[in-house]
Amino acid sequence: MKKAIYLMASIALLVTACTENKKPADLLNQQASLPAGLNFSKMGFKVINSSINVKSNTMSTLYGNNTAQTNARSSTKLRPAGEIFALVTWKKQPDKHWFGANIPGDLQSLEMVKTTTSGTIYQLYKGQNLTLSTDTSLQQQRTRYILEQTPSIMP
Amino acid sequence: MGKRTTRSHKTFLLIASILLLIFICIQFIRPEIKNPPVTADLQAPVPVKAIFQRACYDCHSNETNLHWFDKISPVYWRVAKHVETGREVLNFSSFNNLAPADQKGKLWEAFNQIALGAMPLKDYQFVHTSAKISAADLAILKKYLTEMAVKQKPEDTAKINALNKQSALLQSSAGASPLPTAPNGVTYIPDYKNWQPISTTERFDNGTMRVIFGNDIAVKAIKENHINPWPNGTIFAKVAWDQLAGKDGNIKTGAFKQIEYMIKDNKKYAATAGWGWARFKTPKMIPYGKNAMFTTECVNCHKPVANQDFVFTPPIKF
Repeated sequence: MKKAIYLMASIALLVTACTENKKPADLLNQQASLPAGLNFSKMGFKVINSSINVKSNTMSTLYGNNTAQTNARSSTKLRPAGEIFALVTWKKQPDKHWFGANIPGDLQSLEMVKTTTSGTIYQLYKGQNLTLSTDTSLQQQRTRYILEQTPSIMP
Repeated sequence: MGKRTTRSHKTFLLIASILLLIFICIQFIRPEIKNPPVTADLQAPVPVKAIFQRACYDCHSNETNLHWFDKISPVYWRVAKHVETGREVLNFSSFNNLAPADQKGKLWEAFNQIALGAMPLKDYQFVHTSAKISAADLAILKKYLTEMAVKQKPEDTAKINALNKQSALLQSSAGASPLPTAPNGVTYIPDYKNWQPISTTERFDNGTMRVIFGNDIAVKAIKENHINPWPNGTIFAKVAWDQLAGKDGNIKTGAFKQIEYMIKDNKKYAATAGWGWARFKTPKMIPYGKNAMFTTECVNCHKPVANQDFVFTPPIKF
């Protein structure tokens, strides 16, 4: 009798162990997450578009503040001061839960472009901690690339 | 002492015979499992088809092949129910009647249900050991799917035209018409574009790309690690576009395909896994589903991730 109770208890344990919910920490995409101190979600950015770079195996999301978003959407290509664009880029990784999908993997960079009355400012932050890079070699090319982006259709 | 034993012995015999009688009686309650004719069977290379036939066809085709132990009630009732729902969700005997894109979609979904261990059903596999799908079988299916994945043509004129047409339409439309509502009562929420994206996905299975937006409650839940279960009031909006390859092969978003919502409310949507589901297609936001039963499709597909509150994509902390 005792044996039977033990057996049933262990089976019950086994069953509950199998169906136990995963811990939230394991469910987050940690490697793609932005540094906590940055508070990116409080910066008031909205999505402009999303893109994939096949050669570098990366995927990016372009954000803009209200001014940037409105201008990107209008057909007039004026560049007033006060626009802020932010391009976040990740390495791609296969989605463990869906063969057929790639999702953001390691955070690679954040590029910021600000338009001012005296021209545009470009800043590049690199790596998991988004440290400010002093490399300015691609500054002009990247600024142009970001400013030329067209918004995704969001009805 | 001796008398008591005989009495309990008698009681035991009586209960056993009543149970046996009930067991015999229930054998006459038999929901019928018919095998209707095969009209449009799955077309696939022999090794691929053989795997589906061996592991899936008992419930997902009109060629159900029952063993003697499947035919004993009450097991038989369960088997009958499995076959009925199995055929409803996916029937390989009429598979070729589906549109080519839908056929592909079903095959990718079937593969992922298998890869995540949700299919074949555990109890079915337990007694039908031949239905087990080995690592080698999975590799065969994976190779087959990879070959049918949508290849992107650089500067595809048809796709560029579709995008331009949509852009022009959106510029001209006022958008003051009433908001569309799905058959289960979920209404399209236009405010999604002001939410935070919690992930993006590239879908090489169907040639789309997606941004998943989360409302304030979702973003706060991610910040505080309260995402299993997600709090009531959480809303996800997943937008899908065609992939549009440029001259350099890099991919941008093309024409808008659809938006899908998941709205968490464990009371209101208790019958559909705690989420209100909806899909609106094309910029006209045409609600998906003939009736409220369309949510069965949503829940079935998300079932393999039931242990993470039916949400597939791991969210990114911003």
